Amino acid sequence: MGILASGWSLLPSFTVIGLVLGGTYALAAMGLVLIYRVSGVLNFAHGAVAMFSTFIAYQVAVRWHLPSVVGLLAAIAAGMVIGYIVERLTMRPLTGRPALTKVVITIGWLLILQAGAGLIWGATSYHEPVHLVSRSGFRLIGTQVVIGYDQLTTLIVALVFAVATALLLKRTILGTSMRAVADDPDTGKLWGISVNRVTAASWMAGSAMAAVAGVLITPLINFNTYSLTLIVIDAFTAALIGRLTSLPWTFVGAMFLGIAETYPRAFFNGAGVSSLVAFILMLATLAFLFRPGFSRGRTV
Amino acid sequence: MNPATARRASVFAGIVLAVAIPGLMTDYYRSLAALAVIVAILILSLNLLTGFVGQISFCQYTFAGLGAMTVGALSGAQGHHWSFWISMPLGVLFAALGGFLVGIPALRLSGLFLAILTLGVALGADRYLFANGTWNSFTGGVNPRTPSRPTLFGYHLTGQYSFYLFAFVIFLLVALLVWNMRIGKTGRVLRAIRESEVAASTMGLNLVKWKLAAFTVSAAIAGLGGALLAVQIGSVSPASYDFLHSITLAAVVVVAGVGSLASAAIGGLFVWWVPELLNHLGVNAQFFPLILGTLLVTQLVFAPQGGVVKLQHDLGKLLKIGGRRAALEPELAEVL
Amino acid sequence: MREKIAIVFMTLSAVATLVLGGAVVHELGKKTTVQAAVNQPAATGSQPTTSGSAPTSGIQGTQGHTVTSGGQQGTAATNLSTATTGVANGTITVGGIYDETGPFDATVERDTVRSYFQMINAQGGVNGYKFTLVDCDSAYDPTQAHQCAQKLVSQGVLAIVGWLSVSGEQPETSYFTQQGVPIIGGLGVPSEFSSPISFPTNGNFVRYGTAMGAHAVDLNIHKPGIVIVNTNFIQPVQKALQDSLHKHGITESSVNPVDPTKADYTDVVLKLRRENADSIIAGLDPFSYQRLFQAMERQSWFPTVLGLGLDKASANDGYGKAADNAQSLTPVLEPADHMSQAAIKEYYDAVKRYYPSQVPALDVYTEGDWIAAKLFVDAIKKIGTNPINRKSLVDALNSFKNYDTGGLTVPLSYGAGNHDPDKCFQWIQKRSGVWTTYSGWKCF
Repeated sequence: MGILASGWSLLPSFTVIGLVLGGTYALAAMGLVLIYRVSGVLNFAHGAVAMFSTFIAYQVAVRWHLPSVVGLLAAIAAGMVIGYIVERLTMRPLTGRPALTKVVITIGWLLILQAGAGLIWGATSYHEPVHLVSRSGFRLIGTQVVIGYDQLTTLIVALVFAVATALLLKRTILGTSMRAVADDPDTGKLWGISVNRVTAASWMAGSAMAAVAGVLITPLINFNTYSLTLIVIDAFTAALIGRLTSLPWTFVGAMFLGIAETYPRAFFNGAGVSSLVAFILMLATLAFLFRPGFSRGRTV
Repeated sequence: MNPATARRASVFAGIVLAVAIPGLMTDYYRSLAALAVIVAILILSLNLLTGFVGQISFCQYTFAGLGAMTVGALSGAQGHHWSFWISMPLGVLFAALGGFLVGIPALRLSGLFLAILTLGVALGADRYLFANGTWNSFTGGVNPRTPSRPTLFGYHLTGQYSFYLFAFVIFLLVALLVWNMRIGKTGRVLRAIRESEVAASTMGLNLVKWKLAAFTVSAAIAGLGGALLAVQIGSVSPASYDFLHSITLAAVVVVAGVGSLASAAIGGLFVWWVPELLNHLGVNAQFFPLILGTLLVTQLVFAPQGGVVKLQHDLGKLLKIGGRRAALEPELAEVL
Repeated sequence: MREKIAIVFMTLSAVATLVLGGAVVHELGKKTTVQAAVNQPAATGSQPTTSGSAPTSGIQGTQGHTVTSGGQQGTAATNLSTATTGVANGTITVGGIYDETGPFDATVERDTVRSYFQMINAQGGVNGYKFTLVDCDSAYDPTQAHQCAQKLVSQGVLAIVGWLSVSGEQPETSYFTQQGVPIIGGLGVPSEFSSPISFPTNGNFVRYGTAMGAHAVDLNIHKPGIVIVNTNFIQPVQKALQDSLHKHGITESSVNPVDPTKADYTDVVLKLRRENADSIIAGLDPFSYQRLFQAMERQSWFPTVLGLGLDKASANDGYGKAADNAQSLTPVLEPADHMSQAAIKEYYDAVKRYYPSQVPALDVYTEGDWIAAKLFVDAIKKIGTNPINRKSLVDALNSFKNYDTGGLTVPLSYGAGNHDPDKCFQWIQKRSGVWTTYSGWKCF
């Protein structure tokens, strides 16, 4: 791992790369946090849901040659269906059990989705991803920095999601119901809120966001059955920085993570440095932001 | 018949069968049997953690990797040529150190966040520690290490059957250790901690010491498993000790059940023989994680204490063999 | 009643122990032997599991060290087996290790070999024998590759034909050589050129390096940035490339080894651009090229590109603008502008008939493995009605001089000692979206 003296001059470009990476993490983390906030379950299969939905988009747009937008819609639909199935079949029957049980179930779903995608589309690396946005780049005015349109889109959509979800939760009836269910489901029932429906809605919405994230992210990373699945871990770290509850802070955390992982690459040659940074950040957030006794306030 | 006799009879019968049956197999299946036994050792390491301290870990293969790579680095043809009997204990110690280090932040984290931590450790190892370029003198980088089989009392354990017996003996020793801990003072302490940390500390138990010890010993056993894997296969590379292997192990433990010797053995068989069966039938290998995931999900929804343990309980009820011992089985339901 | 069952059970166990106790003692003193031929159905890929004898003295490979062809590996050539391993019931069974899951997709190489065998089988086989390929998935893990190798040896395959395991070929070639299993075809890693029972049909990767360095002069390259994939055989290739460049007075701006799973090449592109590299010389797998080209397109940076194995059709779909006019070289005939040549037609027709979905994935390496299958079957034909075993197979292969591959390569010659038959390349370039050959055979 040699140190590159030219590192400093690369910083502006690497800032953009870092922000884009952060946007990727933010997109992946949004749905995750929503599901956690409302249903109390940390969905380890979130990335796998994104991956599977993206493969659906691939099937529609690349294999069946329909327009990319149709592929995106198919992915969103697939995400919602998967989210509903997971919640209805394997979360609802386990009401009252500790959160860890449900997390282990999501691990099971991770295996199922990953193996399923491998069986249907092949477990090898190459699949041509769905290109929603053109790959060409444009130069940021006044700088040497070039950014691709697809990269910029990821960033913007992440921001839109963060704002939209925050607004959903604060301003709409569904959102208010979600927050009520998150705080105290029993009281929520007293007010006539269908806890089941709200929880299912949160899973569907979160998984739909995962699907969008998947379709936007895959052109930037490897498109296979495991890369997207594993991105959920980086999303976790971002979500942890947001204390698993605050969407704006999750967005900030994701940006921070993206930049923190990218800057070292301007100075060090080894690729492992980014991973080291990510791991240290995860450790730090677990150690400092979560004191013993931190709980969600209820077991769902 | 009283439960103690039944238990002893079934264990004895199981051991006899386990020794005898591979004697009738071809070399290829004997090596599969050895691999199954080694995975059973890894399952026992997870049993220790889950059954006693109520913690779940998604990084057992990382610790196994530490053990395996130590053996590879020290006993491999490309590294030094130290004897397995030196490199294996070093590997176990190194893995124990890893467990200790992971145990420290784990002290203040409960179930869910501990799971995230272990996940992070597994991925951090995959992407950084075991990645090519970081520590190639230990991991071998892109070149696999090739440790050779050890020599035991003059016998060079190159034969598949002889190595299988060697691994099986180690499995029995580890199982004995784990069983002893369970019914002894250690077990009672750890069970108390599992049931209520608050109550346990009120009684004066040093939580820190015991939880750290559980992590360290669990990692040490995993490291031992890894060391055995290294010489069984004869090749060590980081890709075999990755995150996916760790979660597969955790899934198998949940499906087979925690706390039963039989469940460890069956778990080991499941991991190595089901893919082989699939291969024989000409079925795509991806069906294995699919089956495992489905079993895991249905298991937790319908039978949380684990399939094998449930079977044992049902069998016991059927044969009216029950009693005090059965109550000592740590239920997975209590953990999850 | 239950007690009676338990007692009977325990008695049976005791008897079994006594009987098998003797077997155990007997076994401990025995050394293991390679199993006799077992007819295995052609599996659709599997997770490998170990088998057979473990390597006793460590697998000495030419891993990571500079290798020049000429090193001898083991004395296997002098004691090849004449047992009927892999030949039984009218079927000849060969094996192959492929990266079927993970970052590489070598299922196309497996299916190419199978296409050839199915084509031959449909014509009635050879002297009443049909051919079948047993595959094993190494998943870009050298340990799994080793388990695969042990499994194939234990299952008793006649030879290894047309394998493609990116991280497995370099170490396992010496294992197979020690076990006396002939190898035909493969990626072209250095160890395959230093075993007397390995019969490569593709170019040596080390020679690729030399050739690319020489070609750089023709392309007017002055300051190339080198980007190569980090595998366990790349060191001698990199050295050959650098030596060749320096010999021709060209100095690279930097050498950048990358991991095959590297997702984003933006940092590499930025770095090379900063160094004012006027070109990129790349040695990557097809899909890493895709990500490199995509990063170049995002950054709007389009220097000259010289790479190896760039002409894979399915990968080209995702290359984009950055690969227009890219340069490459190939040790086998480029199919894109020779589709009417008989040998190419036969090759494409067979794959299209038996594995149509794999046709877009055909590339340099599949063509090499097709030739390997052909060479193997022709060797079996040469053996005729004599006993077919590893020794007669190796003797038949060694007797091939100026073997005609139908123009797919220069004529290949084998013989005693190590083999290095394909020393020649053709330059190709992507012109108007079509890979076009613009030179004859250049030999190094």
